[in-house]
Amino acid sequence: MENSVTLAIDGQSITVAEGTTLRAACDVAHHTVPTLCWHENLTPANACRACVVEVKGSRTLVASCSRIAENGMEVQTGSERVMNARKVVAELLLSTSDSNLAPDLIALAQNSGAQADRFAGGATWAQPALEDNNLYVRDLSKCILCYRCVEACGDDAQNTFAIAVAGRGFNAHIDAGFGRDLPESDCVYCGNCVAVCPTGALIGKKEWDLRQTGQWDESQITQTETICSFCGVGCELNLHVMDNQIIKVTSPMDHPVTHGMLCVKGRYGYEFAQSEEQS
Amino acid sequence: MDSENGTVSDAVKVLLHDIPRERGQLLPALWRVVEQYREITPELIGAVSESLNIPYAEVYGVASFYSLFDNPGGKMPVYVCTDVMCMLQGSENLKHAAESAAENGPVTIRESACLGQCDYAPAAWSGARVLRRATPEEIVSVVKEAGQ
Amino acid sequence: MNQVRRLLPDFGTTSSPTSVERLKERGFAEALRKVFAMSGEDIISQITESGIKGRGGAAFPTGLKWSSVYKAPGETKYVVMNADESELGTFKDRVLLEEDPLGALVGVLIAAHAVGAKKAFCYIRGEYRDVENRMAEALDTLRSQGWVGPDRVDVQIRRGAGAYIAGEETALFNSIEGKRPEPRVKPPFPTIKGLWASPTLIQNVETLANVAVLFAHDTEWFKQYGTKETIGTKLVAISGHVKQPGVYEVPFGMSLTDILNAPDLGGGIAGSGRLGAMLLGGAAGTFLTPEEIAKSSLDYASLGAVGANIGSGAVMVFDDTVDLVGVTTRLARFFAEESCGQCVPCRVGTQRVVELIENDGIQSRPQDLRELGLAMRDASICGLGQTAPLALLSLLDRPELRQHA
Repeated sequence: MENSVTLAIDGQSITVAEGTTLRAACDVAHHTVPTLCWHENLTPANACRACVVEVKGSRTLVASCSRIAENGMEVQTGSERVMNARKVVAELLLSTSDSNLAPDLIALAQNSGAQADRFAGGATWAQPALEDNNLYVRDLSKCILCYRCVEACGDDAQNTFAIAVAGRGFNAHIDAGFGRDLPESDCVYCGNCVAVCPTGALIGKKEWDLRQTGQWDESQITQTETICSFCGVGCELNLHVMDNQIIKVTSPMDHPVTHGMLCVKGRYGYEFAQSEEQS
Repeated sequence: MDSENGTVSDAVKVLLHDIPRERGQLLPALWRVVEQYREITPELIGAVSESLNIPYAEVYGVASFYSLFDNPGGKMPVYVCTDVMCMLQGSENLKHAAESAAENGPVTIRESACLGQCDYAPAAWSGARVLRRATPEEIVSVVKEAGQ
Repeated sequence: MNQVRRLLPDFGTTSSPTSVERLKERGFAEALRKVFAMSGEDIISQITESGIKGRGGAAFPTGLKWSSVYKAPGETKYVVMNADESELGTFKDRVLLEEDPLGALVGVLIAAHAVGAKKAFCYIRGEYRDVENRMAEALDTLRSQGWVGPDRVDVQIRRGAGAYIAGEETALFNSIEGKRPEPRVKPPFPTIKGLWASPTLIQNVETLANVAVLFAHDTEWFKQYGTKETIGTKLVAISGHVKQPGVYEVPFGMSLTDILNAPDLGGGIAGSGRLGAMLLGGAAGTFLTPEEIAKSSLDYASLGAVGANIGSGAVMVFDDTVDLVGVTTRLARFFAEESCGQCVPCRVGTQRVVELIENDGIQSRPQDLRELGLAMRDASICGLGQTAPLALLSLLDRPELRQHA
């Protein structure tokens, strides 16, 4: 095959197209590696280190989400070093952030044999949720600093740059600048940050309210596909409906037009539609 | 408030007038602002953001990374190295002496990671002045001078 | 005499460090004339022949690095001098720039000419303000002589602002570019994609000073010191319990015992007078016992045998009364304060290490600390997180160092 590379993953020889990441190659070999910060439509942030693999000849482990496969590479996805790193990453995150709404993190913890409380008892990210607007809530105690929201707000999708990582070390956090509220920030409420958040740290206001009062019930939610009618772009919308009410709007991540990203009208327009119906 | 912000914004524009509006000039621009104001405030971040045409959140993201820009209150900082080699040579005493001398005054005492003066530990630093093999008496006089 | 004066000027040098006279006295003016008449290939082959390796810690062969930048496709190329010396216990670049600032800058100009760069940056830590001023003066001297300027090489000084991580090469690029100084993932390496995604040659101050003295003399002269594997001299920064702390230039291969005790080097153990341990290579270094020190010399192979590395050349000496667990706690705080926060093992790991050690974890939870340390070493993005646990791991491996105090 031209423009292809052949490498060994856990001893199995596989051939993939040039430019394929090790993560994708591992998928092809059915040795899928866990990921937290990686997202199909965003630039790899290399931040969580859950996806590390061992590459022969490399001093340290390698983040498979961004490393490009090369001819002759020998990759191990389950070596002792990899398993230790994965487990410790899960334990460190569990000791820091509230993982209640983080299915990927919970799965990582379970599959890696993490002891949830091994590194617990120290500093955490516990903090009050920020409810400063009617469309979404920032519950940063759930944040794992995966950078997805920053990338979606920035040049991977929205180009608004309303949020960035601020501070450093354990105090590094997502910030609109000096901790200011979103209404004072450059936020345009496209909600694309919410769409890509893997932990529920960014969550629609409606969902947040329903969860707070114990009314959110996944089993009662149905999804309906439609095309957004606010303009002529043709964004596909998934309306999440519970008790005859739209409670959330998303767009499929593999949709050729949206890639999962919407504008404020598509994502939150239903709020106005519903409130008008009710008035 | 608006007029005050207007003043800060104008002053920063003047301060940065010869700095090209490029992302690569953000660090030199922040240095110039901090040398003038000794701290970063929401108004100053806003003014830098406008002057260099860089989003506010990003200016703050960069500025909040660097420990030498972290000086809330804007007092004159005197840095005492409390890292390993200075610790072994009594930097705690130095810090306490400096803190007592600075109390309620215009100077603030900040702990610093290794200042790269381990051959002259314990060390302290303020602006262009490096204090080597510093004694409590010396640091007290430096704190007093810095406050003038 | 155990110490050598090559990178550092001879004791008899009389000219002012930033003057035109110094440029001549050290042979740098002649070196520049010679080099600017040479082709990039010829310069690089002389560098390769000299055997110089990077002196910032990684010891990468300098000729290979220059050649990679030279060959990298791209119209615009950059040279960067890394003077963001912030490694704990490290102050060699400060002393080198204080005593002979022209040397490293001449190295920058030679590098720029060799790889075809028109622009260079000197990134210096913000706490070295007096050194920065001296560097600026030296740059003015070179400008006045026509070596620096838009038609030759444009050299700019960039001042850091208190961030150890900005000394990591890719974080340093981000800092210059006005972004957060978070390290980038490698590959791509800086020689291909560095500053503003252009091929970039980034070198430590000491490496560049080596280049300057090499061209002020010749390869044969350069090779008269060192071992077969590691040629030349190394600046070591000795601090702590020695009688004469300071920066000394010594040939590679010198025994650690001589470095500590020779009358023109460390001058003997101070404090209690009895050697307790050495931390070699800075905060990211390795603790060595007196027995290990006695059998080791300043060479990569010899130190590798005891699990240590020359690193930046920091030699931190502790007498036998020092509580090394206390020292390790301070090292751990250093890393927690200086972590950029980008990746989980380092951001949370450095914090947990501090908490565990402060709660007697070295005694009560060595296995948890070890597994945490190994995950940080293996899975962090950059050298900070990867080396942050090394001193701790070396202490866990040497229980005899934890008995006193």
